[in-house]
Amino acid sequence: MKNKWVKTSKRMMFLYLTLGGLIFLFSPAHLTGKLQLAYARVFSWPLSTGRQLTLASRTALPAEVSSPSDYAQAIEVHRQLQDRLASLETQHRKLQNHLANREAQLQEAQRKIDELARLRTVPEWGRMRFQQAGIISVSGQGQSELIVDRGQQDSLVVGQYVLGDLSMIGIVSDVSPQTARIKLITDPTSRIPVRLAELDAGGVMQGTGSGMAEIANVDTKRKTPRAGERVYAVKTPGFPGVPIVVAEVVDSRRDPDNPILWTIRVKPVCDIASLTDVAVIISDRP
Amino acid sequence: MRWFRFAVLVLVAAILQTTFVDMVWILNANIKPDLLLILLVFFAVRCEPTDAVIASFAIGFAADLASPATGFMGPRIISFGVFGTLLNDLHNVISIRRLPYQAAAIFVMGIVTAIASHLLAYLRAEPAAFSVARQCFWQPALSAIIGPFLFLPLAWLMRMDRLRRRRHASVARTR
Repeated sequence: MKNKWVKTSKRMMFLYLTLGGLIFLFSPAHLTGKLQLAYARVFSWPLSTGRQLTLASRTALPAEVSSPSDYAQAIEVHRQLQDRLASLETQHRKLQNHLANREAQLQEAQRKIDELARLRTVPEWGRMRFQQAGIISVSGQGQSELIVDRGQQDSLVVGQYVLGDLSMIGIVSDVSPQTARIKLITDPTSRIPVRLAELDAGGVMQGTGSGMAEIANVDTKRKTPRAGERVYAVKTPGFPGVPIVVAEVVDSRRDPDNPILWTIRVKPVCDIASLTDVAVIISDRP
Repeated sequence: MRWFRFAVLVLVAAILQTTFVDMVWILNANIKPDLLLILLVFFAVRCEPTDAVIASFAIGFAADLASPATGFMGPRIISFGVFGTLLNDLHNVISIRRLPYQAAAIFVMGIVTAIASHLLAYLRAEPAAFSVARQCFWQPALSAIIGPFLFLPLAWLMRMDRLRRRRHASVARTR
């Protein structure tokens, strides 16, 4: 009788426990996971101590993740490493931007040095002082004005001549403490005394807008102006004592009222649209 | 059956399995003896039938709790419980008392419980990574090498040899 009870009990026990195992098997993972995490939390001290000892004995090998406590530790370490990585990435981005700024500044400085050195190659210009200015924008009707990033604080005053690509392109027409406006030679209100060297003739060049200028009433002494002939700015107050090329002849026509005189259409020798900076002639050196 | 000692023993084994046993590895850091498998075989061959069933499921529960092969529990509860019970039944027919037999029992149990656990994990459609060489050969083999030598201290700790000797003696007297 006793044996029969034990035998039956064993079977029932087996069935109950198998059923319990199946319940565990098909329970949601987050519920059984809580049980595993509870075990890891209750026995955290022996588990972590044992883990540290194990890791200390296997420093040359990568840590193996095999228990809930290990997973929790690994996740924590992973999170810390991710935070550290994000911080380093931010610093890296900042340093990259800083480096890019420094490189740009270096290139800009080098370009200015080259530009100024190029200006110094003209012996007479060695007596002049130039202020490099970056073009902020092009404004005015017919794109005939420039705004530059230098102003009164950089010794710019109204009336100073401005060079671009070693040619004269305009005059400072307005200044503020940190910026200045440059009226280009193509501006309709611009009037500059010029001379055509090959024709040995002079006149006043006035802008017509749309990137062109005209020299009216030029006595060419019976010579016909040729396209491409150079036009030079002549000596005026504040202008350096050397001729500076300013434009080139595009075409010309006789004055209908006086055939001896010519009206010559010119364009700047400098491609103003592609300029990024200009040089302002500050003053003659003593 | 001294259940308190059993509980402490299983708990210590579960903790050791996930900590200090990691220091004992051969060829590969993942190949290490399975202390709970050794306990399973020990209790399956030394306990009374009902105790063996409970002990087998309890050890499976501890195995799933301490070192889950998957993200959920159950595969090792069932596989340890079922095969522990079968081993106990088998032990009534074939005596597993010599060291080589014990080692063979541990090796075979290691293989079948590993395969059964993996197949049960498939029922959840969440199969875990399964290395045939590691789980079906190296780990059972290592456990089989170490296991029989642990049986003696385990028997002393659980006072099972004495119990069994008394039981055998009483049976002999009855005859």
